[in-house]
Amino acid sequence: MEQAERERVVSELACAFGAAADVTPAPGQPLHVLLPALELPAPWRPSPARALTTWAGWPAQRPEFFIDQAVVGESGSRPRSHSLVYQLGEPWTQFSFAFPWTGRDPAPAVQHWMTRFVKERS
Amino acid sequence: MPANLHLSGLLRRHRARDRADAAPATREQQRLVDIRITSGMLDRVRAHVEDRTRGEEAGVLLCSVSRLDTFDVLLAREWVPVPETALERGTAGSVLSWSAQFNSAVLERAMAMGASPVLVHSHGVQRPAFSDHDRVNERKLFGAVSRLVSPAPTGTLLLGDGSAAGSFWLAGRNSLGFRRLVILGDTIAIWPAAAQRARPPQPRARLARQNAAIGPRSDALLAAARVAVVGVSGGGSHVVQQLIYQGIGTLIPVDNQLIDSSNLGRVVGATAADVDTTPKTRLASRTAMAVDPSITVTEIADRFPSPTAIRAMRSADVIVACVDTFAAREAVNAFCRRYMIPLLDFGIAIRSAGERLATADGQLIASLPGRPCLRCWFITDTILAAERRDRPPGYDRNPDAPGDPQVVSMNGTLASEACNSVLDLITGYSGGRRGARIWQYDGRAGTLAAADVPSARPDCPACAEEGFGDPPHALTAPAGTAEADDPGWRGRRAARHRIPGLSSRAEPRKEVRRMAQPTPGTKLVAHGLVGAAVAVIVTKLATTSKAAKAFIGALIGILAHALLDAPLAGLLARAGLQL
Repeated sequence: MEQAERERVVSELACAFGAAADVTPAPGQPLHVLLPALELPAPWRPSPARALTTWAGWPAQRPEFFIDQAVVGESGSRPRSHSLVYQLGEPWTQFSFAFPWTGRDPAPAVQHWMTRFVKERS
Repeated sequence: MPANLHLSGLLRRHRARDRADAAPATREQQRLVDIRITSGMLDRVRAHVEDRTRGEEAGVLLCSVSRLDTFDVLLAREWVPVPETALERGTAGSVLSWSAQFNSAVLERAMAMGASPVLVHSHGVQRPAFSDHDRVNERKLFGAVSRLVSPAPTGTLLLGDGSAAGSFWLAGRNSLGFRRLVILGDTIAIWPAAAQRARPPQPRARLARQNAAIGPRSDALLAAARVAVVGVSGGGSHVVQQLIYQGIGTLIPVDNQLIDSSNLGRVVGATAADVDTTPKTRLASRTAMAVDPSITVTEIADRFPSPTAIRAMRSADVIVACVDTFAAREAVNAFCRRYMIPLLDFGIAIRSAGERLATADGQLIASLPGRPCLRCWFITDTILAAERRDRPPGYDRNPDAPGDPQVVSMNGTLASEACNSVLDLITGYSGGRRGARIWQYDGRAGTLAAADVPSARPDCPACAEEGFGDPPHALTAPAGTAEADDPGWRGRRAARHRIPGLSSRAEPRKEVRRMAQPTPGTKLVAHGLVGAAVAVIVTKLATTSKAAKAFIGALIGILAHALLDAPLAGLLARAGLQL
């Protein structure tokens, strides 16, 4: 991904979610964007929480989304079909979720992931 | 070895506190420091500091940190020799000082990397000891630098041959002891602190025949070793059992499952009484207690990468991965790269055709720091994508479904070979014949063939984080230190990062630069300090001629401002003086 496109992705995510930082571990690696204070719908807590997105193969492939492993729902359990993954030296929660993928705008892509929290609550 | 005298302006600021704080802590309180370095990097360091053709040489290792309960591990990531052009030498070739620009550049680079500098030099002797001169200058330099890089430790390492001396600082205090230099090559070589005079433990009688094979020295090395085994089921249970018999001092089995009835066909040590009640990790404790109660078993009944598993595994000297999926292998591999821990990974895939085996292909791979890792060539993006399609994240298999085919004796063949690799990494028994290799196993034919691993992948995502250690935002002051009890300290540290929470590898670089830029107020203070120094010098001049004093004063003033102002203002800014 070109530098300009990286900056555009980070900038759009910052506009949509309050703050975003490029935390790519090393040059030449896929873009990693940290969302340090993502608001989650009740009853998910803690909110805001940290989330991490990775953008390998963007825009042909959808971004991957990881939420702070401390995030739990009403019963104290993590999102359904979750697994703990190791990213940037930390455990994060990843979960399966299917959504239509257009591959154009970064912010809606992350918003799709967020939908999972809303759906699971209902 | 001198400190840089140009740092004196900054150093004076801390000196009064340093006098009170600099006394080494008592033995009981002392945290320890290990340094992990690849043999390739140590070769480069030694080639520089042991080359006496121009006189004494020095350089700086930039290290990340792994903070454990009782000690810190500094992970050497980059070597920066002091260039000859930056050195000022004495008559006998000893180094008197080096330029402020070099210090400034190294500190800037360290902070951008989230790393800490460790000064390295050599006296050209086997068992080194710091000179009085070293001690004085160390105090000048690290009293201040340790405050800048806190809560990471910093300090100085004096290389010998087979041992080293170290002196380490944390937040302005010379409070950390040096334990050992861990050199990661085809084997793990340990250079203990030169001051250590510990008597080797009595060889264990039960290991007499192993000692007869690979030497009595192996006993102490094995007793001091810590090995984590991730997954202690069909493959890992063999490994744990053999490591106990080999005499490994500390075992860390990691597995979140209970013994189930299907395990009675392949998990060694499991009994019918264990089904549905006994954690798999408990078998390790049970065997160790029965064979050798001196062995410590730290059971982690959790699944990697849980925080508990990560915390425990960071202290391992070697990790053996016996996991089922490529995703799990990828995670353990990434962890081992990050903490520079040798990894032995093995697995076997069996396919049956009727009542015969169609294939029984397995492999053991030794992934060693500084050498190609699993993600460089074995765990490809294609393999991960295919597995992900087959088993999406969070996919839970039906517990009643039959598992993948396994045969206990075939698991045992690869597990035994993995234990041979552990033994070789720790004792070096093979004389360099093993190292970073792959052993391919054909369970049908009963063959095991060793081969060299393919080349490293330049854009390998795991190698990109080699030696990164703890995430920077997770590095907190050690418990029991003054910094841990100082609420303001956390605030000051957090202010260095633009984003709360996980700090950026790319963004903080800009942040550090911005923080290091002197404000007008800081520049004014620097001007004032330099001006005052020039005024003092001019009034002390022997000449009585006012014109001569004015001319010489102007000359000194111009030179002093040109040489000192910018670095001094930069250091003041970096030390937190923002007016």
